[in-house]
Amino acid sequence: MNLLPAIDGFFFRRISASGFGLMRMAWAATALAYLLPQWRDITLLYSDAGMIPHTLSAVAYRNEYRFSLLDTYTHPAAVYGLFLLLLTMLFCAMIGWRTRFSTVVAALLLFSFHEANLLPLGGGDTVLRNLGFLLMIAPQIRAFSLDRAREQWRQWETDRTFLRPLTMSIWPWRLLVWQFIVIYIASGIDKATGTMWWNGTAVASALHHGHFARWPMPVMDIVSRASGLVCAAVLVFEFGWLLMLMPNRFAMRVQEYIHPHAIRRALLLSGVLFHSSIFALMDVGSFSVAMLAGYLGLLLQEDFRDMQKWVKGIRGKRRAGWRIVVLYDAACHLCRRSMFTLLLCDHLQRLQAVNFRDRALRKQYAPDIALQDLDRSMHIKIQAESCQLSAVSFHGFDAFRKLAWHIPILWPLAPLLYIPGIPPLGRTMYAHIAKNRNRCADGYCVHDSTANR
Amino acid sequence: MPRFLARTAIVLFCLWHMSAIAAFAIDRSWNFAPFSAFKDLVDPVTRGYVLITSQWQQWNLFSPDPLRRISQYRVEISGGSGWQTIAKIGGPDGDKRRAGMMKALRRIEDRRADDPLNQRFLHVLCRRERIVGGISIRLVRRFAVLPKPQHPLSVEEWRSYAPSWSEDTLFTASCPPLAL
Repeated sequence: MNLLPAIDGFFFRRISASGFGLMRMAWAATALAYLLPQWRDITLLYSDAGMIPHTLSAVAYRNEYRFSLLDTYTHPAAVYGLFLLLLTMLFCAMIGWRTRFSTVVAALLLFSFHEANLLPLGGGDTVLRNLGFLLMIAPQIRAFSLDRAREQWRQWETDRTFLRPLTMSIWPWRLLVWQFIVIYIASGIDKATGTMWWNGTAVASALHHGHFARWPMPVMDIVSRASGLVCAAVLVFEFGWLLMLMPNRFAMRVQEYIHPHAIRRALLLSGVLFHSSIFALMDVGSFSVAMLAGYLGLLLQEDFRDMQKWVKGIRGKRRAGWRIVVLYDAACHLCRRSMFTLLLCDHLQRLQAVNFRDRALRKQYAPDIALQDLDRSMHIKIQAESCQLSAVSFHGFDAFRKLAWHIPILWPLAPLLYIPGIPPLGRTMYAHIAKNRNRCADGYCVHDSTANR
Repeated sequence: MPRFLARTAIVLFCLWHMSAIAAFAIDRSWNFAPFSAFKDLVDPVTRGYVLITSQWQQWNLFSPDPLRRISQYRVEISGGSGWQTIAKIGGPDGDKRRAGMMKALRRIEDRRADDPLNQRFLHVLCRRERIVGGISIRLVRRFAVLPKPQHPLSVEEWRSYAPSWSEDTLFTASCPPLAL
């Protein structure tokens, strides 16, 4: 084996940047959600008028290798201003507006607040700092951002295609894996030096702690029955992360017997179960949510592809080959934007956009629908690719409601669109927007919904 | 060549960062010689980097054993008829939204009563609550310790368990004049 190519492949193999994009969104959302409720105590915790003024900094802080903007800006109003700036930058990082800038500023401000007062910090805050640092240095964090959507829009407007998926070198992913190994192995060893994790009493004790318990004690009494088993499972899970250090050569041999990504996926799924259970039963601050946010960064292209296959599978084999033709008005800016957004969210790859202003396409895909009707509202035709059944058509609000079942991001919304009262309201609103939209093409605009061009 | 140099720099940085955070996270109390030797070797060199980049970390959540002391806090001021409660933090009727404050209190309760941070904390509360100078203020802790059995308790044993609460005054101060 040639060493240099091996090292190059280990650190610079290209991977999908989607995982880090999702992690950026989840990281910012988590930090935002846990910082917001602190607004009442911000000046008390962090300003010169609060618990730790400059005169006491020698007592409260380490005095070496420290960086915090709050050493310079100590006045309560300035601290509050920086807090508001942090919230704003986190929001921008979450939606991906000026993604790199907002993420770097948000991470530096987060570090500054954490360094200004160590007393209120917990494990979740440390995880947020670790993830923030990796996001700052990762070469590509624009996936799932508004910035990226704008680039996609420009490309789509030019030639109705999308840009190639973003990729990045694998080294930030390796650093993230290592960070998780350090967290779990250090935590596992520390637990192993105590007695309560070995004798199976630790989980019951934690569940009965008044600071952490989310549920009344009678509920915790019952859940505690599993304490012995869960204590053992936690130790096995935490030390199980050592398997992520398995050398590639050995992993290749094991692949004959198990799926290539089985070990990592088993650890991730166990972790999701572990941290979700902690979150459901105990209030341990941001720790569980921050860890789950970090898991998103560990997802690779193969995971997204297999998840897509799995989702298609659970939606039923009958629907797996379905194709949905969406007839839209390419002369209308709003319609093009809407079509672009639908295609961007079409993770099951079922939609086919057809411009009904194109006479040939209209004849091919919608010979049975009058142009006036197409002009009045978006039409969709759903057809199974493999069967000879004729396509079923829907239009307007009903078409959107039908599409919602085929676009994963809209699944939570889909059932709500059937609530009595919503359909008539939706149809009215849809008709109003469709009637008043601007249709501009070929140098002139049409405002009359009955126009037949 | 510049690409080769850039890639070499990135590889070296990754190795540096991985060694640095691992060495920092190692706890000497584990008494595991190879880990201690690694920490002794690496930590003095990389410690500054870990601290300045805010990557310091210690993973002792619920370990070695989970925290068993449950604390609730009351802030009281002296009045005509003894001590009056002006704020409760933690506990069933305490303000649960102030998670940051709760964590801070859990940490300062281990400091000495005459620690300047504790005195400062009470003085800030005096100012926030507009308490006249000279009035005494104190932080009272109500606490209980969960049992540490040798084997998992049954549901019935947990049902019959009732915490034994104690109270102590963590620290007392005299409120400074309001103008200050």
